[in-house]
Amino acid sequence: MITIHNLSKTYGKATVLNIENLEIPSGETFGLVGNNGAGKTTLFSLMLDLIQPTTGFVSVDDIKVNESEAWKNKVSAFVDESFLIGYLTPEEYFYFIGELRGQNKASVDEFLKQFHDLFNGEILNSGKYVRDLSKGNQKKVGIVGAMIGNPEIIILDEPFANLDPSTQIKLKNLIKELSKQDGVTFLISSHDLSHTTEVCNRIVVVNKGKLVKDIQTDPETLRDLEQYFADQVSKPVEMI
Amino acid sequence: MFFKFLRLEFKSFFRGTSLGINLAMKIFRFIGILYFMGCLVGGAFIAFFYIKEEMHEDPLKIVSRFLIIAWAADLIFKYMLQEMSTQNIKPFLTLNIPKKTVVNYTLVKTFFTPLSWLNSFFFITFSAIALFNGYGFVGVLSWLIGVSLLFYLNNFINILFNDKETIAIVVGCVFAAVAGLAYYNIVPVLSYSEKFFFNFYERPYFVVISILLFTALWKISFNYIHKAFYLDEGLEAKKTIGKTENIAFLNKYGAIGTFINNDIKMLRRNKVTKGILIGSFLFLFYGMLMFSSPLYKTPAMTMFMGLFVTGGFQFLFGQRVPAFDSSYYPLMMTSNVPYKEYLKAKWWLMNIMTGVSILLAVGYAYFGWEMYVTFFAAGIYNIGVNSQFTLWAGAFNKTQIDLNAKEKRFGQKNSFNLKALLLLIPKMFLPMAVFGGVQHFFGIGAGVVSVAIMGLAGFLFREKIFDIIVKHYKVEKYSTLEAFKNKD
Repeated sequence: MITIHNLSKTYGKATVLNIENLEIPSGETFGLVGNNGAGKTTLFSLMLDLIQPTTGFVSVDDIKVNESEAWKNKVSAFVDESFLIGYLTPEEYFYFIGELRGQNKASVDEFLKQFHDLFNGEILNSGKYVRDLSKGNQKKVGIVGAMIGNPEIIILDEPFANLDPSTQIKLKNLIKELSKQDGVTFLISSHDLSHTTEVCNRIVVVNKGKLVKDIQTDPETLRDLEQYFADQVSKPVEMI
Repeated sequence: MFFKFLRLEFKSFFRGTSLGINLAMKIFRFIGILYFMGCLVGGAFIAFFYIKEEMHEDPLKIVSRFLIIAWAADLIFKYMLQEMSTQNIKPFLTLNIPKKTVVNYTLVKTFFTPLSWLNSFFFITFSAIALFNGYGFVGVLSWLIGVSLLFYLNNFINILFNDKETIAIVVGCVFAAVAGLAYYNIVPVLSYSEKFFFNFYERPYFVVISILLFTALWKISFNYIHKAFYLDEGLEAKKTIGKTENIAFLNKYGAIGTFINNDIKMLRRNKVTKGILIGSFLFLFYGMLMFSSPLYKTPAMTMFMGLFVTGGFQFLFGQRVPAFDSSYYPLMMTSNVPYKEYLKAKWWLMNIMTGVSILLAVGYAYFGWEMYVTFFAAGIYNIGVNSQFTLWAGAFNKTQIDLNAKEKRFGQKNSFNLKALLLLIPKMFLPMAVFGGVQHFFGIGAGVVSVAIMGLAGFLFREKIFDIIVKHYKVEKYSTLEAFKNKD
């Protein structure tokens, strides 16, 4: 379970994130939705202890992330290309990640078999280094890398962006499957409302660093969300 | 059209981030260029009058004599430092500009780098002096044009062969062979050079050769670029074929083995790190300094050289230890990476390389066993003490490194840091002082043993220093992450 308490991040005078209370129980597929600059990546960075909170804390199973490192055993993430090692081939990258999470080569190979379809023959044995792959394929490598080694919590920032339609569908199925079978907790941020409502069972909307909506997904959710963002557009004066 | 291109070029220089230099570095660079200009102009005066007044020879002849060396050096420098930049050409491809113009523009642009035009300062000054001292106008002019064109056509040779390593190696071997033949007076290369270049003066019509060569190479380069002027050919950043590999026996050593495996791949597959490898190989020859001055013959200075001969890789690699991993530092920070294991992997890699350097340094035994024994002690000290201190210094280095940028191979800007400088005391001065002192009173054997003992002591206390570095890493984690994120 992830607990957020009184968390805020301030740069100079600008408060980019301010969340009083948020609990994400285990096994939840948690969707984080918001416009550019709403604070999605800031929140994830705080959860991963990549930046320091101004106030408050994030804890994973009662381990405060900025005090102990024990959470690293449970959490894996793919936020951006700085989670990839460009000079490795995709296989080497997976083995490297796997070894850090206590897997050996054979078990990584076994694990990768299920992604044969997702990789579409363009990633394994492609004779390319990760840095030379296309943006979409790099994303696939990063997402699959985050799933190696049975992490309990997987954090994905904008996983659907840059992916082709078939891969988006495959990825959605994969997330649903992992969360159903292994009880993996997913934290997914996205601009794309329809993808998020489809896979997530809970959606939180952030705007200007504040939590503005927290809803359990039901058939009405997508319409609700679209309405919310449409309202944002139609009353721009208030926003300023 | 050219003028418009040039204006863009100016903007890209002043606003550019590709050079990765801030204003201070630009000014520094500018001063550097001014300095070289001064040197070359002054050099022309010195060369002319020294040869004339002191050697009582014909300056034009003597300079012609050594031009072959200058020409070869020019080509080598251009090969190493100059890369035809094609990336900012891409936006022009779909604009309404004739392809011919764009290709010619990329060619002409190579002439605007300081490396290309600096030599003209020497040649023009030298020719001017020659004119004032009674050399014929036509001859001097033809000499100037002939020689300059030959230097400028190095740019084309560089364009044609820059990405063909095998040809470069063959050419390098030919150069070395010719240099050897000349050095041992088997083939009088220098007098051929004199004859060839002086011909431009004596028989001005010879300048046609230069002009023909220059235009021919221009044409060839033009066709070469023109043909490959597509996004998926010449303009594409070069890709190498990736091969999955693994040094299996290292896997036995857990996380340390994994990290060493990874570092070896990093060293082999990136431009900057390849530069480090070449650099550390060159450091093996650092001991040749002893021929430059008797100062280096003292025991303390022999120790100084020994530290560099055996520790080249250590110094170059170790002080950039987290920096090399900067492009994927967030991954490292969120993975379950024990800092100590990470450090130890680097430590082992450095020490293995130091060990190899100690073995290779056996060559210095040719200049006396004492020298080699001193170097050996320096190597032990590098392994035992300096390996930790270099890693410590590296922890202060928060410059983000773009592993694949060639232009940064030389003069990678280093964040100067007082603490890192203070660490030089145990790294360099302590062993020099101890060795110098003990050797003075008790002879070389005792000196070597005392330095080696310090090395062993450092080896035994290494965990302590690792703990300090780990603490430093933890304190500085966020600011390091922030610094590594900034792409200049």
